[in-house]
Amino acid sequence: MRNKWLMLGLTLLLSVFVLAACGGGEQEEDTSSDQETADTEETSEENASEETGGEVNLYTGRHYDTDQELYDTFTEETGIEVNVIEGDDDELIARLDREGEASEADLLITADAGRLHRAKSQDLLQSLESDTLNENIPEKFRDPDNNWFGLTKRARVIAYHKERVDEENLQTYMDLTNEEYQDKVLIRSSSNIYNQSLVASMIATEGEDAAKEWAQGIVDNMARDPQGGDRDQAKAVAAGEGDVAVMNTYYLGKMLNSEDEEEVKVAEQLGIIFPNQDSTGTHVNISGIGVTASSKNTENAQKFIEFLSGEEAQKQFAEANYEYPVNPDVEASELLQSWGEFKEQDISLNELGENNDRAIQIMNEVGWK
Amino acid sequence: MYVEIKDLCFGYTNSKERTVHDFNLDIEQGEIISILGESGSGKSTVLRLLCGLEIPEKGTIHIAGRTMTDDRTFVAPEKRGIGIVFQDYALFPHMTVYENVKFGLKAWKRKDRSRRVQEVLELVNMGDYSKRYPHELSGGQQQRIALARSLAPAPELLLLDEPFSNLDADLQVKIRNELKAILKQTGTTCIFVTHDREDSRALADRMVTMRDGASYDWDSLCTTREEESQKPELVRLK
Amino acid sequence: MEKDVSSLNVRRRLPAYRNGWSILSFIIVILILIPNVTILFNFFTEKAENWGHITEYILPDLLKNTGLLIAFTGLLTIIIGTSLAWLISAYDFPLKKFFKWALILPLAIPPYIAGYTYNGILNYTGVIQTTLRNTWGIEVEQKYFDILNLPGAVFIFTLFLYPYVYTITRAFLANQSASLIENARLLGGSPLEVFFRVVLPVSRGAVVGGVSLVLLEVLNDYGVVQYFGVPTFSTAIFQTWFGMNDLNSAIKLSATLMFIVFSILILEKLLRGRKKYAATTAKARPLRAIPLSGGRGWAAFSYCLAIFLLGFLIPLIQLVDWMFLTFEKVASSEFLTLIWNSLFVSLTGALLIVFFAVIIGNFARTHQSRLSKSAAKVTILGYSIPGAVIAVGISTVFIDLDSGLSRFYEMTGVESRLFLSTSIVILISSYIIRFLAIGYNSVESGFDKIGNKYTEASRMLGMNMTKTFFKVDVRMLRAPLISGFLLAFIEIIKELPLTLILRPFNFGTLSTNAFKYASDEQIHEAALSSLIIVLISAAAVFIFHQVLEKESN
Ligand SMILES: Nc1ncnc2c1ncn2[C@@H]1O[C@H](COP(=O)(O)OP(=O)(O)OP(=O)(O)O)[C@@H](O)[C@H]1O
Ligand SMILES: [Mg+2]
Repeated sequence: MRNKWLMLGLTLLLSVFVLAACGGGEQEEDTSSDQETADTEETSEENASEETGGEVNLYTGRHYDTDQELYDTFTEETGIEVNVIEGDDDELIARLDREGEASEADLLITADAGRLHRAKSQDLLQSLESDTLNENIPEKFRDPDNNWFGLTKRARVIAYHKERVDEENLQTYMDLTNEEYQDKVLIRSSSNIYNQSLVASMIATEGEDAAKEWAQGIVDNMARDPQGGDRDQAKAVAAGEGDVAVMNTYYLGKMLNSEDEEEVKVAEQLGIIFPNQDSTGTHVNISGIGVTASSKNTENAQKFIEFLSGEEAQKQFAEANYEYPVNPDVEASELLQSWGEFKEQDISLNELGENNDRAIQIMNEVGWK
Repeated sequence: MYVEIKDLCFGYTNSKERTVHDFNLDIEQGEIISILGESGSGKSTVLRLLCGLEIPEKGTIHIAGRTMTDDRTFVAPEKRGIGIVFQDYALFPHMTVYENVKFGLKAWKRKDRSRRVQEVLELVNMGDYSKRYPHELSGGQQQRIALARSLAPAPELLLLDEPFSNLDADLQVKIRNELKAILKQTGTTCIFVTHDREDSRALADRMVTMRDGASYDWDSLCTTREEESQKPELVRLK
Repeated sequence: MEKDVSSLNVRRRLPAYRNGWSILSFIIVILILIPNVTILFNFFTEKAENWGHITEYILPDLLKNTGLLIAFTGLLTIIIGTSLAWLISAYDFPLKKFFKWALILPLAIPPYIAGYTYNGILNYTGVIQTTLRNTWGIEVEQKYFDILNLPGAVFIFTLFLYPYVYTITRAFLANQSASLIENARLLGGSPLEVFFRVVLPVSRGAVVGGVSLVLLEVLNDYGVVQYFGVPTFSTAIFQTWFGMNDLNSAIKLSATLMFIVFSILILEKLLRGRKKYAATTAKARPLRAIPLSGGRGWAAFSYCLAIFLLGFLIPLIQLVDWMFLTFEKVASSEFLTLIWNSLFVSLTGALLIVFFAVIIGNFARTHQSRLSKSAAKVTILGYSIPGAVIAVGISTVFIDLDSGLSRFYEMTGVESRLFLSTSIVILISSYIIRFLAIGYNSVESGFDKIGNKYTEASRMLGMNMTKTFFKVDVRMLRAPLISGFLLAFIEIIKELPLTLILRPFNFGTLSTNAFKYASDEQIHEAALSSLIIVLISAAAVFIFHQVLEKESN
């Protein structure tokens, strides 16, 4: 009698799990069938894809709706289905690491070169030889061992209030530490990867001491304790909490084109400076992609990367998200062009990853919250 | 012996002291035993141990030749075939009187069930109340339903924890007499806990008293009130 | 007559454990323990490179922030939660019936969404400053509108977590304390006196129970503190683990956090005192409400209204506004899938949580022993550890499980070598581990209320544990079971970190969708999914309230 109940309980437990699993399965089918009904024209192509295409599995730290549109275009053109897991860069890398050889991911996209380097140094990526990629992507934005490839560029620039700041005196990152900007500098927290990579790049170009000196100077000049995102820094400048902010180019682009007219007004009050034009160049980071070491669809993965580096995709990156395309044949969006050409930092992007730990430590040491 | 309790020891998990200490009791089939003792002396606990609602630390319990509890065996409460009326009745609040009494009759043939329910309800003078819910009854009425519920499945061993405490004197006498008649007629063995010596004398074949968690033969303790106050040597049951 | 707790005792108890309930309980407990133990196990295998650096530069700040957050959020939620509970249970005033459940609604808004929303309302481009500026030309001092700081975080946590204190305390006041409070009133205490000298002390257990839930939520939060720039343990664990790639320091931080959590739990136990079981004979009588006249009635009304506006209506309206701003851009048929996904995982998860909670709960109360008590304690484990940490433990276990099953996969022709760890099973398991405590609390308090006597009576009438459970216990537990289910449901549908890390390919929920936009500072675009989350949870809150009401009648 007792055993009967035990068995019953166990079966119930098991069946619930199986049900849950099947539910999940059904559910994924639902998703695809939903899509099928949504755009019936695609159905025939999808059927074709089963013969030709196969699939490619993507872990991505970028989550823009426009990216999804690109993936759809890729599927349309090649019949290769793109399965996606979106997440945080760090967590995706950690997940790849845990899954090891068995991982189903074929591709990893992160929004920071340092992260790509980390994935590479943990042996999570593999090398990929492709003439197309060598052609489409300048050497500087490729890993020397071809473990990763840049897709888009973003510059970390200084935004200033057009009326309150004399841009003559503001030409370098170092200028932000001048007494002139005492209590005027707005920048987000040290836990933000863009700031970490900025400091890491300074370690690479000017050495650890200089980087620390800079970080100390920034902390001394902060208008307030770091808080919020890049957009919040811009708003604080407009609100008069400070005069200068450090932010990524595309955030400014988005604010200028926001559906909220107040955000547009804020952005219009701001001027933009590409720092260090006479010396080391403006800090440029990339979002990039690599084939995972465990990939089982390397050919499809290669096609996918080649597609993203091609002109069509690069144009879409540039237009939709106000990022700079890595492909030199593709022009940046009108807005970015209006900001002019600028000199980029000339370092190996892998150094952003190599110096990341030290950068975090430095910022902690100087009390950068 | 029908019921054999040997060297039973037990303490509640959250108390340091043992509540029941080397408790011994033998009962013959059909015998009616009453247990007396001060409040808190462990009477209810002994009944719970018999039921299998608590697990003793030491000692053995045999009922009708079956080992209920020893070092290796533990028979689940529902398999012991014991009926009990709890001190606080524990009538199911979400069931009517009828459903409460019928609850224990799952082994009975379906068609016999309602007849049986009516029968025991009549016995406790509650025949007209079968549609009521427990909270619509007085304390004494609830007690009678609890008694009826435990009698319904006709258990071979019946345990009663102060079954008449809430009844007025007349009713008490009536029910106890009828109960005794039934018990004797069906040959049911019965242990009942009470504070009332009258009950004890009227109903019980033998009286046992509890002190410090052990049992003592009532007859050895005293037979009359005067003797009791002199506190003579107690004869401990072995 | 000392007891001897010898081995004999344990052996004697063994046969009583040989039933489905206890065996299932042990299986569940082990399933919950494994991922947690896996994490601790790593503790001994790697060395912490950055620990020195962390203790010098990060830890002091963490302790300070965490301490302040806990202290102030705890205090404020107690004040707001108990005062509202008292007003609602003891007095009649305009719209009281409505407030009774509307005041639970803030629970429907995930704190991180509330945080984003409030910042959006208050900042330079927010509706308040914009109106002041554009209509009257008033430029305000920013620091009065700055919410992205520690006091701001306390504000958010207080407003959106106080319902834990409110509901638990109100349920207690409604059911338990009528005679005490009426006596105090008869003895001529002023209302304030009655509140402070009688109500608070009497409902101490309930208040402490509610507050400890609030504090665990605060310690666990990642979204709010990250956005508000108030580093706490969960952000630091993220940074050291994923940012510095220093698993061991992260585990040391987790251990420190767990130490704090257990201190809170022990404190709870001490403050709660001995558990009160429901009175055995007297039927609980509801407290009779006194009508508040004129001015005082409106004062009570205004207080409730203010909290309701701040905690629900204002953020809701803002979300609706943003939703219209971006509707064209984000709305697509994909949302139907998202809603279905969210509902599916939340319903399944909540159902399983209640199922498991019932098994352990029933086991724990029928076998009153140290063993069963520790089994019950394990359920709280998942609730006390940050989601991301649990996620890593669980996925490690599932990947091992998958590699163990690889032979089986080959035989059955399953292609994937990570079948379980890339399926929805891992996600739902993680919800169970994370939120079992929520369901368990509810079930346990239900069991406490009915006590053991009905179960014992039923077993003495020949029903075994399982039949007893269905015929007797479930009937009386209906309300706690439903409320446990709903609370777990709300938690899961709001959940973010676990879903983000453990979801299968092409699987999104409303909250991951909201995150997708919010993480990229596209707050307006996040409004649609946030709004749907809020509405679904609000519906659940409403049903939850109805169930509680029914029970107390
Ligand atoms: N669940 C429990 N946990 C801990 N101690 C208990 C529990 N139940 C009873 N006790 C203690 O065990 C002792 C014996 O209790 P029991 O109920 O058996 O007494 P009793 O003889 O039936 O008393 P009464 O005549 O008042 O019913 C008492 O001291 C009581 O306090
Ligand atoms: Mg008793």
